Amino acid sequence: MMNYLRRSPAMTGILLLALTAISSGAAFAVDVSDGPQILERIDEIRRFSGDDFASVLTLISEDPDEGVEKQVVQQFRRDDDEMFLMLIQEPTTMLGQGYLRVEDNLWFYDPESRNFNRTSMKEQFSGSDARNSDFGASSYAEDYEVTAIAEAQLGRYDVYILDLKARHNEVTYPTERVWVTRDLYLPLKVEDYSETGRLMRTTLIPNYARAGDTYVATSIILNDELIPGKRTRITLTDISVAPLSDSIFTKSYVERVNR
Amino acid sequence: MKKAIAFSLMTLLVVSFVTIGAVAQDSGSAIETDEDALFGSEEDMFSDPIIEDVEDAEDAGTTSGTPGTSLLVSEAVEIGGRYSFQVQTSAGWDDPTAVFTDPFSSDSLSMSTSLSTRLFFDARPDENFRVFGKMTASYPFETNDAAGRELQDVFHVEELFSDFNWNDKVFFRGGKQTLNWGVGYFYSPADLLNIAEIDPEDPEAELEGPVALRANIPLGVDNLYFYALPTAGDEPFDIGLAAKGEIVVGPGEIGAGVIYQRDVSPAGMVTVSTSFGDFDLFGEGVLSYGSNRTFVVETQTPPGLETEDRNEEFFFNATTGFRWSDAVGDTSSTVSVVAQYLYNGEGYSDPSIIADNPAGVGVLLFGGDLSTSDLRNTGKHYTATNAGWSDLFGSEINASVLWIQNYSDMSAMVTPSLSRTIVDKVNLTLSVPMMFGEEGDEFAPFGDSLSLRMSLSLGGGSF
Repeated sequence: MMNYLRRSPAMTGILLLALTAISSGAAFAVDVSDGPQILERIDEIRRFSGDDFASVLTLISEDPDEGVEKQVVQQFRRDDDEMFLMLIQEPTTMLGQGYLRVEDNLWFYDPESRNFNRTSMKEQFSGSDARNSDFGASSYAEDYEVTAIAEAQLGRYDVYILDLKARHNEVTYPTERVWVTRDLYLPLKVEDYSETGRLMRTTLIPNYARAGDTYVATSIILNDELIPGKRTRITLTDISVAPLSDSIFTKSYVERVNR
Repeated sequence: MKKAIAFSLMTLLVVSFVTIGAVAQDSGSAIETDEDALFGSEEDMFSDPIIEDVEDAEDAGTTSGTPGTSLLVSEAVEIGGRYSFQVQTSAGWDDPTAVFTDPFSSDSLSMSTSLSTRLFFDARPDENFRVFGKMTASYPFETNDAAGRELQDVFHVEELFSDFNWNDKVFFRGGKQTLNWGVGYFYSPADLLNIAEIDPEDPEAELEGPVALRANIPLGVDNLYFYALPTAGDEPFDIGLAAKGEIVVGPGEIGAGVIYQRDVSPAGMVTVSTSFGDFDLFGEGVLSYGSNRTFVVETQTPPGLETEDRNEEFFFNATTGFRWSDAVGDTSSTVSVVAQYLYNGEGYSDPSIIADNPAGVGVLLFGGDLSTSDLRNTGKHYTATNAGWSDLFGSEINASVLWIQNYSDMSAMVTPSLSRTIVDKVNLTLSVPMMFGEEGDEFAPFGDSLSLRMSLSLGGGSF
């Protein structure tokens, strides 16, 4: 821990702030006016500023009708430029498909037609319970405002429960409820609601890894609340924060890598 | 008797379409969702930490080589493909109302079998060199002069190219390859390089491309492309040249390209694609000097028609459209719509010159003065729309309606269809193609008609 603190002054500040808040108890009780700062912290701690990020995602999807399906996806991220690339490696039926995001543009590459088709961050990711927006940089502060906040306990963790309302209609879900740790501001649980207030999806994030100065969820469980028993577990491995070539975030690279 | 048996068979399959479903298997979940198990309890202060040490995270990886480059190399040659086997039956009525008044007396009844496979290989000996090939084989595996079925209809090389680059700055692809320029879904006049055109009835099918050398220079998120297109000619000037640029502007992308090739009409094109809320918008404009199409004009001498080339006038084609999809209320069903308008500057203002002269057109076709591609999209104005609804009313049935309209002769094709997976690897599609128009019109060569079509896909898939 001390090694890490020496390497990360920003994190030291956050941790000291969190420790002070914990020791002061009610003196630092939060209210809705603290919402923007908390959302910024959530984004900051999960955003790879100055670093690139790569990992391999394994998605295990359970569907009462379709059974169990496994997908393996190579992920590259450059959060500073709002870029990501997702390349599907398994199953073979989907091998070669890819999602390339460059700022406000998201393309889906179909190796059959060799076409880059525009798609939306709201769309389902490759038939799983994940959405394309789940794989970009965290942007809570930009997308949501806090309408209510409460202190609570989730398992053995002290958390804030944040009720969020979308600032614009570009987001996947118009309202969310987020359980975020009080010390590091890491989301542990997220409930996504529709416009009518129906619970659509519950996300559980039981594990994180620290990569550089940033925390990344290494285990994510997505429960489809509309279809009982339909869920997806995403596991991240092969995590790297090594610099990536600029050419990776190009259509040319997607075409070269895919079949 | 045959018709009764066929109708009974269709009825049986329709019933099975509605009643047979995939059997749900509740085999228990391997994904832990219990919050106490995932996050511990208040008393459970000494369980595994939520955060791995940074060293653990780095060790967790097994990636060899630099991220991104390892995907460009493979020790083994990858081989894969797709297999397809379909049986299709169809019953047609010249009078669409007869399907209700006399369903056992269709005017035509047919059955066909489609069997094909596509094989590809992908060799990547090093990160700067890759060879890829893709071939198809289609049943029946024999040529037939009478039916015009040639060897290339049985075995066909769809793609065969290599990738190489210069200093990781200029990326080359040389060989036979698909080269998509357009952004349209049903129509793409800006798709100036591919040999094949989009079929509006199968708009997502792969298009066959030419033999070409493509050089791609990425400029950040933008791209420059240069093309050399060898032709059947044997002189250096027979090589066609083309260039295209793509720039990303905010939430959109603009493309512009030109092509020049001896004996082919030079053309320039512009494409735009962007998103607006839940809508994806796209548009294309193409200006060419001369047309590659052969036109039909009236003459006083028999057979009353003759052909002419129009190489010294400008032609403008344009298209625009949108895609939209959304969830149906708070359900897992989705609805989607794709709609597109085409202004076909090479079409006939009055296509009745073709519709009213079938004999004359036949003579020109038989004599080789005219090709079937010259008779495609004969109108000036078209729209094509596809509306789909997945998991209809919570079922596993997918519904869609395709509507293609020619506004020059006012003929149309409307095809509602339902599809579902009966059991794993067995898909059934029921469709009702309906043609509207006067006899000889583009979509209604025999006037109004209606068909019932059933297609069963058996054991198809990728491998």
